[in-house]
Amino acid sequence: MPLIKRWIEIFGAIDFISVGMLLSVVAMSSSKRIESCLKAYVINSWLLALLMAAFAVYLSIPHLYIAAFFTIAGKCVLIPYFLRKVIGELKVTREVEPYLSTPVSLIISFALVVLVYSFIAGGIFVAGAARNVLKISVSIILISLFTMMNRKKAVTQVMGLLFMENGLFLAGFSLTYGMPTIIELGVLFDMMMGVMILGVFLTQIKKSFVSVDLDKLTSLKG
Amino acid sequence: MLFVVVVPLAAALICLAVKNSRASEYATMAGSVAAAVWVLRLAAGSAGGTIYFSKNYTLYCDSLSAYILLVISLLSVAASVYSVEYMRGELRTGTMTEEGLRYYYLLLNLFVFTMMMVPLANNLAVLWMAVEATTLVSALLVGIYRKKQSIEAAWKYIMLCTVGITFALLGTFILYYAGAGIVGASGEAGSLNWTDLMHSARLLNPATLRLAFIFVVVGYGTKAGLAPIHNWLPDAHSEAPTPVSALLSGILLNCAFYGVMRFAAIVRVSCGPAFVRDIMIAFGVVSIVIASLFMLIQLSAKRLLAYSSIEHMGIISLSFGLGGIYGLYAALLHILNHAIGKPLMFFVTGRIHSVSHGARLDRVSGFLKMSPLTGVLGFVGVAALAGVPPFNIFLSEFLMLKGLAAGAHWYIMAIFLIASGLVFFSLLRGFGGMLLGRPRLGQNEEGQKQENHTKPVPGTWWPTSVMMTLLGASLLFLGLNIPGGIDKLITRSMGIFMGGGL
Repeated sequence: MPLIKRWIEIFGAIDFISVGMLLSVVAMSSSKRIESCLKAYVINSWLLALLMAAFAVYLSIPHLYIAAFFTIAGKCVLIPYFLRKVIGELKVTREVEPYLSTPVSLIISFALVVLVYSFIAGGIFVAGAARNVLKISVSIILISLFTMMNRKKAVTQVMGLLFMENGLFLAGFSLTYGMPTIIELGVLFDMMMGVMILGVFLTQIKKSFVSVDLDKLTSLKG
Repeated sequence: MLFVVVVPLAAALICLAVKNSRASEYATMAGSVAAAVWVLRLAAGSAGGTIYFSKNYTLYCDSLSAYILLVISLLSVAASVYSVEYMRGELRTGTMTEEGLRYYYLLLNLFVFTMMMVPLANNLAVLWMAVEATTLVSALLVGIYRKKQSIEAAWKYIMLCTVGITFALLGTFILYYAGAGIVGASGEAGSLNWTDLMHSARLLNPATLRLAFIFVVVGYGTKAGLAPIHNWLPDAHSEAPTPVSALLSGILLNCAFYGVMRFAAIVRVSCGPAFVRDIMIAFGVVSIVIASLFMLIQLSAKRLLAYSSIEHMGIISLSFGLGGIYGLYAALLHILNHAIGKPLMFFVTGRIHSVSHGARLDRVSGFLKMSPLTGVLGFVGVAALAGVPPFNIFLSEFLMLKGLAAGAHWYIMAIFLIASGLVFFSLLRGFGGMLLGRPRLGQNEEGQKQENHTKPVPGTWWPTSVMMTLLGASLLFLGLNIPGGIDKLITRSMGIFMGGGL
């Protein structure tokens, strides 16, 4: 254990992993196919679980192992499995159909990161191992929000929401080194229920609108 | 205290177990009445100054919780009684199936359960979970008809509110960070219990708390229907079954606003009252202006009422922001007043809807002649919602105006008066047209007028009429006289937002 602790320190593993999460969000926001979005989400979730484990080793907080385990169970296994099933059932076409082209979305993602780095620094001060993580997590949240606005397909909106939640968990970690386990579990449970219910609505949208394009959802205005 | 939340859960289990929709109706009504009786006992205790705790301080009930809980439980009784009449009508017309009805009652009980958890939560993360759970359950209720519009409304609702509430969780995390090193009243460091944080509010870092509060207001504000993040609200309110619309508008919005209030109490002590005041007043004024403008162009009665809810949430937010004796009293009283007036109007609209199959304002008229009692109650409700004396909403709005005058906010006062003029005009035009004139029940697709109806509205159920009359009567009663118990609850709750921490 002390050896791993030293390695985490020497290699800057915590920064490294969180940057990996940021990159996977950027990959999601610029990828063209739903499968690659889902893959990016799985990678993102594994990195999140790894980060929790790294914190658990580095700061010797055993209850973070439990949180990491449930993250793997929920975000890396159950949710992707469920989404694959829904996507398979819906027979959505593979393209995600963004409103803006890939280069433009990349530039906007980059601008969002710059914006966060220049603003957050003054507002809140975090010391210790997680000093860079808050900025990264807020960037992840904003990029996913932008992606949600940029996509036509209802499925990809759900993906954006999921990435946002990962960013949120990351923010929670960098600020607090983990909430009490029972609360982590409650939040995770709420979010999983949310994804399930969204899946139910997705199939209903497919049934009654014949497609899952959000452009078609226009009967309610004003 | 636990009994209160166990009852709706038990009723939900019964609805899950029985195979008969009649049995679920009665289980729901019995459950809501039992919970209401228990809440009344709890409220009586809280009005006397008792504060209830659960063993590990996760649940908590003081005067403010008891007050909100009282509103929730009374309204859930009204909604469960109304559901019987309305949903039987839907069953008769074939809009709902027997199976769907059981599902509806199951969700209705779960919805009440999640809403009751909100004011009882002491731990702010549990509060967040409860608010998120209300979104999930009520989204299923909004989409229960499985029509195009209702699915669209439910999708919009769950998406916007979940994204919004994600920000509230971020705000909660930041607050936890601010309180991480501080030992609270219960003796453990880094607790998320509201009581602990309130106890040590002076020690929290103001800059961090400002950031947290902004996230929380955006998050819970989305759910409370504050403009400009209100877009889900008119759709969800207009597409949900009418009893659910009444619950959404009358109490769900207040539950979300309750979250803002609990945070505001902490932030106020740490950052000074001016910060909270400015944010809440800004959201309030924007909501009032936007809602009053959108009300002018609405064609559907339920959407009109939905925008009226945004206006009233704006009034609550504005009064709460003003603070002081007048502002706080007005905000808390207005929560109750609006929660009585708006559901009554939804119930009236639901009755019109069930005979005319679609409550388009310009296609129905003369409902007063068809159903005199419902018509009169409709006029009472419109007058109350528009803030006409001697009804109760006039009282709370008048108190808010006094608060505005005391703080010399003349511009805001002018804006509010103009906006409430517009609201009065839209409500009277909309519902006046529906209630007065020659009896006519809409047109069919080809635009031909249907035959005139003068016979009484079919399918009314007398307990529902009694319940609606009681609601109408209490609109008038509360406008003339505030009962001592409610006065005590409100006055005690005001203390939370006035002193310098617990």
